[in-house]
This record gives sequence, structure tokens and C-alpha cells, in this order.
Amino acid sequence: MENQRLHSQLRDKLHDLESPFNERVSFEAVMKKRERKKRRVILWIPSMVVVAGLFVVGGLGMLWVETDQQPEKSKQVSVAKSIYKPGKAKKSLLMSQKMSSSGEEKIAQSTRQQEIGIGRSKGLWMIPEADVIADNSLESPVISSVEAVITDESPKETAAVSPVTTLAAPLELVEAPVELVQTKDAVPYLNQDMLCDPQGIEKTQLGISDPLKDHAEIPEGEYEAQWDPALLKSKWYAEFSATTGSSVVINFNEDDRLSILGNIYHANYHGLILKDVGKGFMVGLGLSYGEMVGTGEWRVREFEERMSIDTYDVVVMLPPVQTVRVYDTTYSQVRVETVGMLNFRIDKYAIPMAVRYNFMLGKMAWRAAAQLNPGLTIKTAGDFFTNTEYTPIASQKNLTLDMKLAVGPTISIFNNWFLVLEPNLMHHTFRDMKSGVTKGKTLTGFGVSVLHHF
Amino acid sequence: MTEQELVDGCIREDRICQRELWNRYSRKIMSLCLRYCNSQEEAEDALMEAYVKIYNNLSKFRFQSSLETWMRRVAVNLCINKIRARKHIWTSITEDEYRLGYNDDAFEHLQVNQIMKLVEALPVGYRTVFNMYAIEGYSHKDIAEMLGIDEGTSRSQYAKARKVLQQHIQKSEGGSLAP
Repeated sequence: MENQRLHSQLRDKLHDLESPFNERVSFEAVMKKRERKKRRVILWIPSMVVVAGLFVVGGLGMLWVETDQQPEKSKQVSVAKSIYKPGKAKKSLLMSQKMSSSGEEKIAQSTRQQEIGIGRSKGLWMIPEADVIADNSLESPVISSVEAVITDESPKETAAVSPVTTLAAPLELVEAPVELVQTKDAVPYLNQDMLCDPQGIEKTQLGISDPLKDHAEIPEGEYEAQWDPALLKSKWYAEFSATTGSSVVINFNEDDRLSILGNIYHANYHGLILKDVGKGFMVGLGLSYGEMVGTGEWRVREFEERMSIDTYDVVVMLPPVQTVRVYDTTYSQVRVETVGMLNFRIDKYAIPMAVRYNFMLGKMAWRAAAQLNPGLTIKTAGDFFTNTEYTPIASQKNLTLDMKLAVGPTISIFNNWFLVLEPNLMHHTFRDMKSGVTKGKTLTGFGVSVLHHF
Repeated sequence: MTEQELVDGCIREDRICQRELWNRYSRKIMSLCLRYCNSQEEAEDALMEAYVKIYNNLSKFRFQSSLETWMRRVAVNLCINKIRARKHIWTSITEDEYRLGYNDDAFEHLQVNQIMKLVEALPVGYRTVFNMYAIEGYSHKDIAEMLGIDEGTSRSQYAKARKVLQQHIQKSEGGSLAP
């Protein structure tokens, strides 16, 4: 109820309230705004019509192309069936027997003959007339000659075969060898694109392919594999990469005489040529330049034994009164700390040998990288340190071997250009040629690689 | 000119009728827009846009309510769309907060302009729900649907709005209206 009262109060007070507005707001301004909106709609209409028209034209075009291609496809299927299912020969013989007796076949035959005749007259292909006859002549006495006609490429020999007369001959069912090819489907054969192999793989010369030729069935997927557009792409890539990483050197053991607190970091730049070797793997070789720098502080803790002598005077009150000086010696161990600064620098060139593995994780492309960088230092300075020791780098030219492991996402940035973000682990080692000591350190960091597909 | 004549004239794009519609209701619609919008400029823009919509859609007016009510509804919808476009974050309050007492008589002593100022000073979420529920008379269910929020959120926004209004009234009148 209170609510209702409040609301009615407010409505009474606010409903008829009129508020003034600025001069810019006027009936004319509203009408102008309305006109502008209308004009915008009017401008949209033609462009929408154009877009819709394009869609319609595109759709009709697609439809036209599809209908144009459909018969070609069906022919290929029928040919393939006729070649590879010789077991159906007997069944078709029976069918052909029925047809021939009905007389319809004669009409069909003559039609086919006409078609063949046209083909020959144009000189486009050579189809023996007996091809047609053979449709019903598998079991006829001329069956052997029919076979010969089909297998023989010479049109002269085929001409020797009597065409239509054999159709009228009484048909006897003969268990024909299954190798015999039914020529019933030979007519659709003629209508094929003669430049294509019926199976769609090999280019053939003009004329029909030899049905008796030993055609291998293509295993499923092989065709696609052979004609995979990816095969046409280059397998070569170039990679440019910058990697950085660091490691903190610290010793928490208070008992160690020497402890070092420092920081080692590296920067590594490389260029690689990679080859796709299949199954997501790439191998590559290149050139790299790296710098490893360390700065820190060494601290030596030593214990010194110190002797302290306290003296005090004792007054002896017995006569004769005298003062006696007493010496109190104490030995104590004191820890003494000495500190100093440390730094080193190693510049090196290397020839990186890289293996990359590309894989998908969810919808994201990822890359795992392993790399071995054998190389040579070109400049060294300072003392290399670990958390418990430091040694001067005696030689300028030292052998190095760095190993890198990285995993990160691959992002396509432009056409044929990819960006790889790589958190990485890199182990740096070098062998001081003078002292013969091998030193190393593993650093963790982040790298960015740009990959170009040629 | 009756409402029917006015509407028919506007549908015919009769400038006189269109101007009459503007002259008759624009100031009222402006006061409505002012209650929903953050500033005078924003309210003026909303007013003009509302009128464009009104002129364009008058043919859809079926005379099932008064013309003014229909126009107000168009304007409210437009203001709400603007608020929704700003992606305001709506918050709920607890049941205890919701049950706080109010002194509704406080509004009785206030002038219209004072109420308007108080309503305009409310945060956008409170103001919108308060306007729609208390002044336009929408139910919480309708408000929830229109604003795309929970019904509970609508209730709590309204409760908060009332609480804030009451605090403002107390401040402005030296606490004499305290419950």
C-alpha cells in the first residue's frame, strides 16, 4: 500500500512535468535527422540488391557447373563397374539374351552403331564395330573373334567381324571365361573424356583404355594422397629466432666457505633453414650468435680464533696491603666475511642443428623444439661462477655446446609467415681449452621465432 | 486536433500534424528522457531519436492506449537500449538490505523539481529501475525482461534507489524526515 501511495505521488508529480531543452533540439532538427536516416536506408537498398544479385548469379553458376559435370561422373562409375566385376558376366548374358529376343536390342544396337560411326568419321577415336556386337555375342559362335576384336587395337581386324548378323544367330549359353570383358558398357566408354584415364590417375593417349590391361584398383585415399595440394608446397622453411633466459645463482648453505650470489643471463640469436621431413617433423641447420653474461658477488666466510685477555686488580687487605694484577685469558671464534664482485662474459658463434615437431593441441598449433649448438667462443672475460665456486676463464677460444628445449604455440601472422612463442630451457657449456675444465649452466627463458615457409 | 487526426496527419507526412505532435509532447518526453539519461545532452539526443522513431512507426500505433502513453513507451525503450548498450553492471543486494524501512511521506514535502533532481542524481542502475517501476508503472518482471536482468536484481535495484533517495532527502532537509 505504501508503495502504491509513493508511486501515485511520484506519478502525479512527474507525469505531466515538462522540461525545456536546448535550441539545437527542434522539430526541424528531428526532421533532418529522420531524412538522413531515410537516405541511409535508401543507399543501402541498391547495394543489398547488388549483393543479393551476385549471390543469385553465383548460385546459378554453381548449379550450372554441377549439372554440366554430373554425366561425366556417372559414366566413369559405369565403366569402372564393367571392368572390375567380371563375376556379373553370366547375369548380364542372361539379360542380353532376353533383350536380344525382344527385338529392342536391335534398335539399341543400331543406335549405338550410329554413334560409333560418327565417332569414327570424326577420327576422334577408334572403336571396333564388333565392340557393339559383342554385347550379345559372348555366347555366340563368334565369341572368340569378339574377344580378339576387343583386345586387338587394329581396326582392320575388327572390320572382318560380321556386325549385325551375329545378333540374329541363336544364342547358346556358354560358360565364358570371366576374363571376357562385357562390352555392354563399352558405349558409355566412348562418351568419356578421352584425355583422362577412367580411373582418373594416369593420362592416356587418345582412345579408350584397354579394359584387359591390368589396372590396379586404387586403394581408398591413395588418390587423394597423390594429388594432395600440400605435396606441391615447398618443404623448406627459414627460421629467425631470438631467445633470452636467466638464472639466479644463490647458495643458502651457511656452512660453505664460499658462497656466490649472482645472476646469469643469455641472449641467443639464430637463423635456420629447416626442411619438413614429414609427420610434423622438421630438421634444420643454421648459424647462431650468443652472449652469456654473469654478474654476482662472492662471499667468503672464515672463522678466526681470537684470544682476549682481561685484567683486573685484586687488593689484598692483609698487611702489608698490596694490589695483585690478575690476567684472565679467553679464546673465542669469530666469523669473518669477505666479499667481492664477480662478472664474466662469453660471446660465441655456433652452428645449430635443430629438430622441430609440429603438433595440434586442441585448436592451437604448437611446436616442440630441440636444438644442439656446437660452436666456438670468440670472446671471453672475467670469472665464470657457480653458487659455490668461481674460476677465471683462461682462454679466449673455447669450444661450446649449447642445448635448447622449447615448446610453444605457433601463430600464423601473414601468408607463409608464422610466429612461434617459445618458453625454453637452454643449457650452456664451454670447455676452457687452457685449463681443460668444462663448465655449464642451465637457464630458463623465453624466445620468439619467426618462421617463413618458402 | 484530435489524436486520431494527429496520427493520420503524421502518417500522411503532413508537416503541420508532425509539428503539432512535437509541440504537444516533446517537453514531456524530454522530462522522461532526463530521468533516464546521464546528462542534458544525452537526454536531448534521446528525445530526437525517440521522435524519429515515433514518426517512423506511427502507422503501427493501434489506439489501444493513449498516444502519449505509446510515445512514452517508445522513448523509455529507446533510453533502455542506450543504457543496455553501455553495458551497465547490475548488482543485487541481500534480503536484509531489501527489508530496510523507508519513509515514503518524504516525497510529499518535496517540489517536483527537487524530486527530479534527486532522481537524476541516482546511479544509472537505480535510476532506471526506479523510473520504470515507480513512475512508468512496469512490473519487476517486465523490467527484468526489458533490461535483461534477474527479477531479484530489479527488486534490489529499486530498494537501493529508494534508500539512496531517502538518504538524499534526509541530507537536504537536515534529517527532519528520518524514519
